[in-house]
Amino acid sequence: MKQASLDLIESPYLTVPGTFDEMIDSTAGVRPHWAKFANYFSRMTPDEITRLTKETERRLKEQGVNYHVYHDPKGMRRTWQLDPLPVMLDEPDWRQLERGIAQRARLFSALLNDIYSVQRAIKQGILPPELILMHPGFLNSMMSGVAQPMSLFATDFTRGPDGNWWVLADRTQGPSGAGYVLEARMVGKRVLGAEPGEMHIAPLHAFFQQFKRHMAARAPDKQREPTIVLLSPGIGNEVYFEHAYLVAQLGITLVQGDDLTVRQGKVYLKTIDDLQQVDVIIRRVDDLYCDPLHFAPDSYLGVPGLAQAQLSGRVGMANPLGSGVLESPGILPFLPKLAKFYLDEELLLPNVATWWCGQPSECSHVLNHFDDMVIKKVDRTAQVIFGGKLTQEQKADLKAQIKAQPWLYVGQQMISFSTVPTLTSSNIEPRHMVLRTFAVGDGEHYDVMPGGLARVSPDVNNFVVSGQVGGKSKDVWVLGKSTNRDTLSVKLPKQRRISSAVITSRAAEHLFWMARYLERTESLLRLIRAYVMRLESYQDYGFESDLDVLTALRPQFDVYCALSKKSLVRIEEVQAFLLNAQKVGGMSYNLHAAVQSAYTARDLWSGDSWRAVEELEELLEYSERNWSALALDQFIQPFLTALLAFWGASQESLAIDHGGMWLEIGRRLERAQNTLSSIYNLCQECTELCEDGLREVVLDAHDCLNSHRRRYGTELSYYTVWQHLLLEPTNPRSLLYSLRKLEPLLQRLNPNPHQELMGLEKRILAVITPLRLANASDWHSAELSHTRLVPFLLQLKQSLHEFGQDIEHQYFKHAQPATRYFR
Amino acid sequence: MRVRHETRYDYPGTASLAYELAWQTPLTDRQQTCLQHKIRIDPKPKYQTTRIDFFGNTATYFEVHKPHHQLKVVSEATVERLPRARQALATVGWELCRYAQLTDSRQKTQLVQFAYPGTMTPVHEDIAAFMQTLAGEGKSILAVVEELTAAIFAGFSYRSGVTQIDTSVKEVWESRHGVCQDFAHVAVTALRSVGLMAAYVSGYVLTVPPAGQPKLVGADASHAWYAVYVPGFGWLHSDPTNNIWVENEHITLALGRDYADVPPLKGLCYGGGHRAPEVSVTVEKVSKEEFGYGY
Repeated sequence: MKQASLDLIESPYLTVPGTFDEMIDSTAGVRPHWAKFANYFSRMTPDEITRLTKETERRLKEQGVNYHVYHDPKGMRRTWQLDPLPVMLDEPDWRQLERGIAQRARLFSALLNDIYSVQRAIKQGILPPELILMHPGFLNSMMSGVAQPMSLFATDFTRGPDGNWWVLADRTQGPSGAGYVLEARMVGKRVLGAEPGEMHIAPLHAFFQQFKRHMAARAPDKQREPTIVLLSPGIGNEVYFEHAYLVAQLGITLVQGDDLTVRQGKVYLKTIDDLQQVDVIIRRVDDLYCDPLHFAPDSYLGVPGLAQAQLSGRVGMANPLGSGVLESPGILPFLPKLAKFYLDEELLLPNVATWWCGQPSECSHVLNHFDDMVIKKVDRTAQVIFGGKLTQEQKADLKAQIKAQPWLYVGQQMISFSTVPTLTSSNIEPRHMVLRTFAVGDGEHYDVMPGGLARVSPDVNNFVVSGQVGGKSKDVWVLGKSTNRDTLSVKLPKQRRISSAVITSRAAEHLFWMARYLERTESLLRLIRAYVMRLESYQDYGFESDLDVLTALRPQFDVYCALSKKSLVRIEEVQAFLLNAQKVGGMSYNLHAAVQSAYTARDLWSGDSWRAVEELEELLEYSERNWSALALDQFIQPFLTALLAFWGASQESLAIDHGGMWLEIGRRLERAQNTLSSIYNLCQECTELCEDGLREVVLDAHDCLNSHRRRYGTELSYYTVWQHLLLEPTNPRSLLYSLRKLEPLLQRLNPNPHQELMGLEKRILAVITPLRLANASDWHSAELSHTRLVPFLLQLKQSLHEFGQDIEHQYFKHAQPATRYFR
Repeated sequence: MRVRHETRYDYPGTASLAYELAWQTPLTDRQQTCLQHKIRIDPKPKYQTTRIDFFGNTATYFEVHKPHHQLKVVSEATVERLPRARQALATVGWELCRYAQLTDSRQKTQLVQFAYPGTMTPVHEDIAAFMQTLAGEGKSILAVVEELTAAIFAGFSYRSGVTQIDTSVKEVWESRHGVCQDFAHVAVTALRSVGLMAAYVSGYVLTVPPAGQPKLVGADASHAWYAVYVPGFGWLHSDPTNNIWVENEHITLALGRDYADVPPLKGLCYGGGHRAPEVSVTVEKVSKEEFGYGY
């Protein structure tokens, strides 16, 4: 095949010789279904390319789309790399793939059921026993349970130089990517706008409706509205964003292992109210990590007894535990025979030539053609290895390993992946691609997502497309007049209602703590702002009165964390206190903890609230990086503003019964505790509340100075300050106000609000009542503040502390250490 | 024979939930019949169910939901041993017993997992070399097993408390001491290295020996040994800890690839904390009249 090219404005689009290009055919003509795009490309200017790249990045960032890359020096989260230019497939081409995928899914489901029941294919000699029974993904414990179909299926394809599609691999454990397709479609369409011209793109929504319907159908109990959850390994997982995104799209609940519990072989979700039975689990945790009782005993991602629940058919699993064995590339060469055996059909889609080393002649073929082979382990525990790229020594090593345990290896023919127009920094160039398709079904019938996710290599002649090595993803458009009509006219069978998403006990706890960390940060920032203002004034003018105030304020910091015992806190120390993430109780520490919690409840946030969280995170990152160049007041105010933006956005979007309540409880409780502790420390440490100045700073640190002035004019006595900060029912920053805000929230938690008060309500009454009965004139002097206010506050502090503990015990019940034993 | 096996966990704290899997039901196969078996668990499980595992053993799954400080599992069984004459095996060459000689896919499907190295019985060059010298050309399978058992008995010292459940075969091979499980793993590793099919066997031995014979090692706790599959005969059991054939003094609980397939009890509890269990086993001979047919 010769090299073909298409003239773009800057430089020509040069295809790679010997490789199929998706857009340009071998005679340098543009394939018809690419015509509009080619036209669009040829009009493009370098500016336009820059705009596309920037705009895509911006949109993704705005959406908070993350792809976590392991060992990335850039830190834990990196924006997912999306190329906004889609891959175009024309309808006849796609129809053929679609049929093949659906057949393949039926075939794998039949194989799965056979493997875990009678093992007909092995016993009749169609499959070698080692291929299945010695595969690390074959789980003895899952034999002979209640059969469940493989309902989720993904396949990786490539197109060879001859223009045919070849299967590279199948994904059956918890195939990821479907959520990214939705995201790619949304961002791509917005970024491109109407530019390329009108096209008939097969829409995605019907697939996701089918997805939900199929999942609901997995519920063993057909009577109730099924509860569906997505089991995720949590925020440490590279594709956690997708989990949260899918969950939000489908209206189901995002859970981690310890949100679930098995009781009498059934699976339950720990909600804040009680245990709610789970009917279907969409599983994104690998088989062996799913049940520490049956498999990996040290896994914290699973649920003890989950395997038993599946075996007894009391929960629907998508996909069933044990599906990992289907991912063995060693199965590929046997598929034509298996298609005949199970379906009595010819296999529609060929796979890349694969030799399973468990057979002697195949093994020697692999060893003899080592340089032309891609060597894979059957269980994906090792990276793909290109035989030709190894040193002599490495080759000998690997060959010895293969000879020792040949059933664990396959050799695959190297094939040149087709190329597709891809944005680079300044141009549009061909890049190799792998297409991942998605299907969902019940074992008999499968619905295939029209299109899929294409992944492209970072450069030409590189055939590794994983997001982990810097490859980008692309949307795939299936074009054709009928695709549109077809999918729209499909009459969906009546969808079963599924029960709505619930707030897990874990999500509630994270919201509660997130609010506390944010509130704590806020009050700390205010204290520091007030303190620094005095400090600067003292350094500038040297007034003794300022020094007294500073000394008196000093114990305030103890509310947050331990500092050096010197009477004056230096600016550098304050700085470290703010931005040193190691400093427990410091701002940076608190904010990191809050953001971490926000990620854990990622599925709950509205777009704006999430934006506010990211704003905080970015601000923090920026300040940590530039702290030496910034003056203190340069970042205190932006943080306060960002915090207030978050509170505003979350209050406007997160309904009280969908988690908003826990944010609010956390925030009010924290504010009350901070106010109490700070005034307590103040009165206890210094008997001589020397100056009006100090009272002024205290008011300022609670953001009350202005409201105090409006109410009392210039008067600034003990009486007015205590009245305003502690007892004033209309001051939103007073202690009483915060506590009274808790009352209606607690009432919501009470299952019988009209009958009697819950323990928690009584506890909070025990704090509120003395406050309401108190009279600020009892503490109108420095001495009275010390002798009478201090014990009063101490009492309240203790009651409030107990209240916080009760909340944790009562509602956040998932955290209990587990012990494993063998005997 | 009658056995009573008690396992007791006294938790340092209060456990609120416990999930357990037990392999404590004696196997019924060509060499023994389990006449009667009962398992009692205290506190009473909220849920309990048994299933036949991949290898044909009976596994019991149970959940305890109420707060408890102690978990007690008592298993009682009556077993009739059906010893088989193995003299005929003295003329069967060991090479004929290798997995590679099997032709029937059905049989291969059942046995393949016993033929290859596993997680707890990985390839070990020295063990393989040792086995090479032992398995001389044309030697009978009976002789090979007898010599292997004798070699382990002579070459390793029994020392309890030194090795753990997860001590590797490599460590045991190098340190030359361990307990019955370790010896069984060494034997299994050795046999598989030459292509034989070998199983780890969990079970019990008689507590009080017949008059005039010494008390067997491993008599007061759960015991373990190994078995080799001989086509046409079945599993040939041998006990390297005591250097004897498995005949009338043993009760087989379960066969697996290694210990992890068939632990007498494994579990997980919430809130209890860890402490080693108290285990006691009593195995005694009873006459047929004593346990009475026909219940």
